[in-house]
Amino acid sequence: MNKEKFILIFSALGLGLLVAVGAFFLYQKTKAIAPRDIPEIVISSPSPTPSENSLIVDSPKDEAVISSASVSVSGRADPSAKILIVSQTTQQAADSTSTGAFTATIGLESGENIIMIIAVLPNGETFTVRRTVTVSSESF
Amino acid sequence: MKKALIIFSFLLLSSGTALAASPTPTNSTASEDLIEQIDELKDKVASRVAELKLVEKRGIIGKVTEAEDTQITIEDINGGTRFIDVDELTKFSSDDDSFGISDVEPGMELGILGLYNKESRRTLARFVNVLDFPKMYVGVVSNKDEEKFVFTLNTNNNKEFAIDVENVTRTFEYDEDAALVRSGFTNIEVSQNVIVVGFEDSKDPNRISASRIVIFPGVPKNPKIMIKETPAPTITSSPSASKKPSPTP
Repeated sequence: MNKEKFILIFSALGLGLLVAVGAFFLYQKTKAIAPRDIPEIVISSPSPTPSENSLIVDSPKDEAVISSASVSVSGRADPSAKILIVSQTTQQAADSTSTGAFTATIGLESGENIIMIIAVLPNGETFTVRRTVTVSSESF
Repeated sequence: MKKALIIFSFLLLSSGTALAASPTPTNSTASEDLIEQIDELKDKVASRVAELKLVEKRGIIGKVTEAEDTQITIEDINGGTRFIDVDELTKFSSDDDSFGISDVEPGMELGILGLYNKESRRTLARFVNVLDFPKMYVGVVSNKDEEKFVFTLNTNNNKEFAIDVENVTRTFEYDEDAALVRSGFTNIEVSQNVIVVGFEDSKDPNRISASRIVIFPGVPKNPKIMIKETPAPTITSSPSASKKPSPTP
């Protein structure tokens, strides 16, 4: 009698387990998204060109202290902008690429230097960024 | 049978609990000491790295707005207020050999080289230099006097300057090939965008003696700058301009 009871109990448990597993898989299947329902994700360029109203200077960092007598000035502006870099002693035009990126190397005086980067757009709008760069090899 | 099942269940539960509750094995006190030492070292390295990152060398240029015995307040070139601490190690330099903190006055242009603390946002000055830099202006030509070699420059912040073009003034124009070509006063036109580098007249801060000028031919004037066509300003020739621009390379 006892043996029959145990067989019955284990059979019922096994059946219950099978039903539960079946129900779980059925539920998971209903959650699957059809490929046509997945929206197309478009990743834009990782370095978008700046808006028309901006001039971004990546280098040099403002108030940087360097030991060399020249510094690379780089950044981004409108691709059609005219880029001019002016320091207290010199000036230089910079060519920009089709993405608006520009780079130029400008000579520096020993000690403090002010660099002004100017972008002039074809409509006449002008944007300026000023940077202080100090040439020093003093250790402190 | 029932008894066996109860015992089996009890053993199963108690072993699980014992496994979950058991602490990490403790090998010996020696390994604990080692872990403690490593942690201590880690803390020391981390605090030193944080300290190094907190302070950095910086060079600042600005105009003095306030000067005290141990502190100078300046307005930097971008208009920000900066607090500069001065101590016994700070070195001052100017044309005057005896220049020191007591000689710093509002309006002076200083170059500060020191240690900037990112947390307190203060700079501990190590070198303070008195500067006499030319000013840089961006604007539009609103008037031109051919006879006196003077033009009026209107800037973005609604300021107006009389620009003296002297013999030593070098004029360039930005051409189509992104190059600077030598130009002259005759090529400067009203409503043209222009960059001027020069020195302020000591008597009239609105009068600039130009050392360099860059013009942008073929580009319309900056629409943000309003200019009015007025007669030539009553500007006398400028032999009195105390600061003559030095020829630039």
